This record gives sequence, structure tokens and C-alpha cells, in this order.
Amino acid sequence: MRKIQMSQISPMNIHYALYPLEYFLDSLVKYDIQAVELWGGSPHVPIEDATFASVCRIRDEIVRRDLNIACFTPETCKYPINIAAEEPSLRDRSIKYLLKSLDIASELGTNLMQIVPGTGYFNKKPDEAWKRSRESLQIIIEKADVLGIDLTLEPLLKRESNLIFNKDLAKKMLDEIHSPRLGCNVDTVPMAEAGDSLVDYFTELKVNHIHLCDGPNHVAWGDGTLPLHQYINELEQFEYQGYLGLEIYNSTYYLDPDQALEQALNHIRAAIG
Amino acid sequence: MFGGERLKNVNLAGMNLHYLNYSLEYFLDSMVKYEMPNIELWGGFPHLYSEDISLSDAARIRKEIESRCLNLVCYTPEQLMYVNNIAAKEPEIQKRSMDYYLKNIEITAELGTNLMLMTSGWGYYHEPIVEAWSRSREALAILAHKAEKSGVTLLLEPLQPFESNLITNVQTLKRMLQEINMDSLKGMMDIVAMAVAGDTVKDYFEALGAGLLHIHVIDGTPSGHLAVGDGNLPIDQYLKEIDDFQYHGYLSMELAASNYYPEPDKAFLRSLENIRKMLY
Repeated sequence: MRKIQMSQISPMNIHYALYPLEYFLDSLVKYDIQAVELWGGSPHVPIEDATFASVCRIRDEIVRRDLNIACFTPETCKYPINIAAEEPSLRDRSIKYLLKSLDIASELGTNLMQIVPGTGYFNKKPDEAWKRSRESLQIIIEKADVLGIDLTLEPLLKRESNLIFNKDLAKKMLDEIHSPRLGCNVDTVPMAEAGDSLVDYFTELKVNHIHLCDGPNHVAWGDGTLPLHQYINELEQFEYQGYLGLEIYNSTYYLDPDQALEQALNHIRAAIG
Repeated sequence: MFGGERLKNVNLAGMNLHYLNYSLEYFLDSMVKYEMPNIELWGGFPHLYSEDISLSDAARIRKEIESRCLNLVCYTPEQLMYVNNIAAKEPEIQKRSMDYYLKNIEITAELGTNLMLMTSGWGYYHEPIVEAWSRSREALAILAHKAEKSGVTLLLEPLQPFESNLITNVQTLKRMLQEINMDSLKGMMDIVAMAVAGDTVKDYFEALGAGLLHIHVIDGTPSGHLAVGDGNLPIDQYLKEIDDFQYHGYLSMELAASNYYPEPDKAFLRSLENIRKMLY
């Protein structure tokens, strides 16, 4: 057993999108947090417009608040990005977006970046889309390896992707790619929806990141029905030493993001004990 | 059922947003299958993302629509999911957003419709809105000039409070329309935004009159972008009120809840059947 530490908790800025990045970072300091999972989305980290100078500014803002970057997570679900797209121009642009995201991760000084598999059209068999996703992942991993960055592949909700939406499919992709750079990001919301468990994931594949979220719908801890105490116990049982990203992602929290984060942190502090 | 004689099924239009896990052709075929003659085309990935397409691609999409004898009533480039914000404080975001909408006005003309939906953008929520309002107004004026030259009218749609702090109700909509005062910029009504703001159909028609050119009919609780019947808004009552104001425009069903994504036809058909019972 190894106790989960508050220093492993890394909130995300995704539900602070109506406020500037600095506002979010100040909130982390206010709540005595030591790590951040940086969501790469506008207006905080607009990936397509990012320059070396703009990324350095972001890094400085984070570093001067003594925050560690747990993971860089470019927005790829809401944005027009799909590495498994059947239209070559859409897929090529998506790959380029993620290759640039790797450069940003590198300049930020983090060694972990999140990635998702994309999707094929739902009225078609996923075979071809699966291949396109795998090949895109391989291209991205090749560059990640050069930069010394690990990738963490997140299974999605079934309504978001027909490729990877449970543990078995994640394992299949990890096995097929078989790269030391690639692990799995277990998000507790799609995990619970798929009927998988943390124990299954830890037993069967390499977990290199976790999104510890209440659900359904990525709500703040306390607003959903998922078993936080059980998750903490299981993480301690498997001696998980990585980061726990807090992805609070629901439009009801946009107006007052601090309130949602504070509530989630209170529940986690109580659960860790 | 109500007694109006003007508002009919022929005013309804289907939208493709919740078909985003299917191809554009699949959506168009569904509209034909369900005998829906009108569409409002959502310009979003992967159906029509303006950054990925040329004007000749837009012409090809127009042929796909016309070859199915569908009537395009409005073009709606995605406004909220992506990085665009015409009122952004950061010059690079603002420039990207203006380029996006300027190109989309050209796409509108190429698609063969003269209406394009537009929203205000937003300012940071902890700052006074006066500067963001000015940026939005200047941006909208530039876009309205471009629209005028392209034979396009922009339809300004109020947003919900978690989407924007600028135009979120009938008063702010009217104020912006008056400040810009151009024929190429008109107002529209979204039932959910109206209900969330506490406005009424009467408020909208009294404020905009004949300048109310387009309506989104969707259900909500009151928020959401739900199929008619999936929420708790009094849609039949709204339709009767809209009818009483002798509205002749279209009623688009802008379904956008992500739980409709796996089986978009089902949600569309449910909405259509429910609203058809209220019209005739």
C-alpha cells in the first residue's frame, strides 16, 4: 500500500475556458495545489496559433507559481480533429495538430501528453478507421520518442468513438502498437460507463495517467454517483504513483469554475484522509 | 393542434449537427427518407469545416443538396465548439475568428443561400463587458459589410449565459442590432436561449418585428438542445404564439445533445413526429 498524496492531484483548466489561464493558475495556488494537467484549448493554449514565445510565456506563468505540469492534453474531441478520419486532408491536418502539440509539450517541459484514438463513421465497420488510427498513433509516437515524451491514450465514451471505448479495445491497440512510449489514460467516467474497473486496467495493461472524475458527465466530485473512496483504495492497493487529473467538464460549471474545483478538492481531501 | 393557417410543416428544417459521427451524405439521405424538404446546414467537422474546404468543395456540397431536391434555408458555421471568438481580447484569436467568419460568408454565397447565422462572441467573465462589447460590435460591423457585398444577411442569435456574456437576451440583441443598424444584420430567435433568459415569443416579435427572420425550435429543461418532446418547454404554445405573429420564416430543429450522436435518426424522427402533431 502507498497512500495517494495531494501532490498527485492535477486539476485541468478546461472548465475555466471563460476566464484567462492566469485566473485558473491563481486558483490552484489558492487551493494549495502543486500540479496542473494543462488542457490545450483556446483561449488558454490555442495550439494552431502557438509560437515558441507564447508557449514560453505559459511555461513561465506555471513555473513561477511552483506548479508541476502533470500532462499536456491538447483538445481533440470538441475541436475538428480526428486522427482516424477517412478524408485524407482532415486526417493529415489532425496529425499535424498533434505533432505541433508534441512540440508544445516539449517546450512546456512535461514528458506526458494525452491522445485519443479518433473515430470512424458510425454507419461503417470500424476496421479501416482502426487501421488509420493505429497508423496515425505510430507517426505521432515516432516524434514523441525523439522528444522523449510519453503518450497516454484515453478510451472515449461509446457515443464519441467507435474505436476505443473500453479496456479491451485499449489493450488491443496498446498491444498492436507495442511501444514503451505508449500507455493508457484511464478516465473513470468512460471506464464506469463501459463496465470496466481500475483493477482490470491495472492488472491487464500499462496505466500511465488517470482522470479521476465523477460521473456520469464529468461532473465535480459530489455531484455524481461514482465511488471515490473505492477508487482511492484501489489506487493505493496498486501503489499508483502517477498523476490524477481532474477533468471537470460540464457547462454548468463554466460561470463559477472555482466553486466546482473547490468542491471536488474537498471531496478528494476527505477521501484521501 | 391550433388554429393558425400559416405555420405548417413546410416551414420545418432539419439540421446536421447531431449527425457529426456520420457523413454529410448520410444526413442528406436521412432528410430525403423522412420527407424533410428543408435543411439548415451546420458548418462543422467533418461535414463542412471551413478551414478544410475550398469554394469548389462548397459548390460540390451544394450539388449534393440540390441533387436531392433539398432546400437550403440557412448556413450555420459552428460558433461555440471551436477556437473562434470575434470578441476575443487576444489579437491572434480575434484575427483567426474574423478570417473564419469572412471565409464562411463566402461559403454561404457559394452554397446558394442568403442567410448565415452569427453570434456575438464573449469577453472574460471576471472583467467588465464594455470592451468585449465594443470588439464584438466592430467585428460584427465588418462582417455585415462583407455580407452585404456577398448578398448575404447575417442572423444574430442570442446565446446562453454559459456561452456568452454579451448577447444573451432580446434586449442585448436589439441593442446590438440598433448600434450597427445595417440591413445585412438581422435578428433571430432560439427557443432555448429565449426560455433560459426568461424572454417570451411576444418580447421577440415586439422587439424585432418583421426583422425576425429565423427561428430555432428545440426543446430544453430549459437549457439543452433537445428533440421536441425530450424537454419540458411548452413548444406547442410557443408555436401558436409564433403563428399569431404571422411568421413566415423557417423553424429549424437544432438538435445538439451528445447522447443523440450514436443514433441521430432516432432523435430527429422523434422530434419531427412530435412537432408535426403540433403543426399541420
